[in-house]
Amino acid sequence: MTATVDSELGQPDPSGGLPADIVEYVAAVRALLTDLDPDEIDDLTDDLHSHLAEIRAESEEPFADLIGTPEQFAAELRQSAGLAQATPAGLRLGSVTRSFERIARTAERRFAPIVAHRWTRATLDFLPELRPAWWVARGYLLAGLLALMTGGRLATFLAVPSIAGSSVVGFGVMVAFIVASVRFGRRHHPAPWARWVTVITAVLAAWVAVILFDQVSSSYVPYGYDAEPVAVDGPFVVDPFVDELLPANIYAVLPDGTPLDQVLLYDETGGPVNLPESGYSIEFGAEYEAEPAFDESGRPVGNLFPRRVQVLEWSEETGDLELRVLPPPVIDWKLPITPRPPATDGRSSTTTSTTVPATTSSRSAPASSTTTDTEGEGEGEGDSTVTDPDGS
Amino acid sequence: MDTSQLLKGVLDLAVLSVLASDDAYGYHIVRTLREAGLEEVGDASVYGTLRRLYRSGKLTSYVKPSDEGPHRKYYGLNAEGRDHLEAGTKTWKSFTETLDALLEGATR
Repeated sequence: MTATVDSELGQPDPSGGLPADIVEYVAAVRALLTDLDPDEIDDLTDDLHSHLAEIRAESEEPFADLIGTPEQFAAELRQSAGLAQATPAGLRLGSVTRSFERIARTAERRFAPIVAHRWTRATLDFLPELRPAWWVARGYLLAGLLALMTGGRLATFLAVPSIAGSSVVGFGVMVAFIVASVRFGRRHHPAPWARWVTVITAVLAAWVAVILFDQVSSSYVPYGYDAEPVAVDGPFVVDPFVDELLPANIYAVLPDGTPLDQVLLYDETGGPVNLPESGYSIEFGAEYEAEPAFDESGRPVGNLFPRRVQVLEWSEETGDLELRVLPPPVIDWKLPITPRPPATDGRSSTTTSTTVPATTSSRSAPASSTTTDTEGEGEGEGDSTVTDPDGS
Repeated sequence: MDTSQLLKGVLDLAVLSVLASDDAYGYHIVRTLREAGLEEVGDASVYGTLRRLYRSGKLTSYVKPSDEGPHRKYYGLNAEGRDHLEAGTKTWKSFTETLDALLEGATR
């Protein structure tokens, strides 16, 4: 019984018992629609058998003369249904995307009430208008991909990618990519390769977008929030997110090239500027440890530089990990420095006198020339924020 | 002027108006439109239009077995379809009135 009902409804074989030309015509039309969703094809051609049968009942002329060739019929169907025109036979995304389509169709059915809602449809209707924005984003992200592939950085100043070590090159490439992407998007490409290009570039762009988002979100440093202070002492907070960028040591050199030993660093509030006691040195590619100095009361002095820094290195002699004291760097150039005019408002003297009263005073122009003259002995004549505890 | 060009813009309205009186299947709609004077309406255009209207939520659809042979897919108007027809009719009337007035001025 059920079988009879089924065949009456025509579900298993809608062409059963129909003339060959009808079956052929319908098959030809369907074959021209294979790039569409299977449900869409069914919906468009479900009634075609009965339609042709009724035409045949009235006229014996070939269908091509009555309703056009299958090609014309399929093209007219697409146009009136608001669907894309056919992509030429050959390379199609077919087999790969079939399973996706099946999932999509199930979802479509399940979400049909939501999709049918007025607001949802208004939103969906609006989406195509965002296409130009997507074209621009695609060009930008693909330029970023090139930056990543060439070892550059994804987003430097103003989010411009750096390519071949240069943001200028990166900017040029970015503009070129955006222009190309928009041009590609604006044109209608019926060729099958264009569809591949669209899909592949979209996947790549999405991938770059994820990387970009990850970089931007992880480089965001929330000040005074969630940041674990690593500093030995004082208000200078070393954020663990950025401590790889901090130096392991600091060497102060006078303009004439004289190295300063035992320099205390302070910031503009008078607080000591400390560096972490341990960390990772990008320059040496190794973990480092710094030995803090201690004052008379045994408190660590973290802002005394240069300090003793050891890196953990693999020793070829002993075949073991060993600590090596980093030697001072060779600083072989001098800056031609013209002395700055002295601070006249007295503010700097107040600030420095509270922090290091013994060694500083507001400097005048002759004092700076004294500094360059006195080699070795003039270390105490530091700048307002650089002081030498051993000085004069 | 080629009527088929004019038809493209108003086929939605024509199809909806056929369905306003009663539910119908594709071939019936084509025939009704032809009998009404729209000789150039394409069979495929009607099916494409039905599909588009259905997908945009303006039509209901159901399958009925027919005595003569294969099943037929019937389409009918739902509330949104009726609203659309009503709004479309208003637009069409004001449009034709405007154009009538323009054409009258031109031929006088």
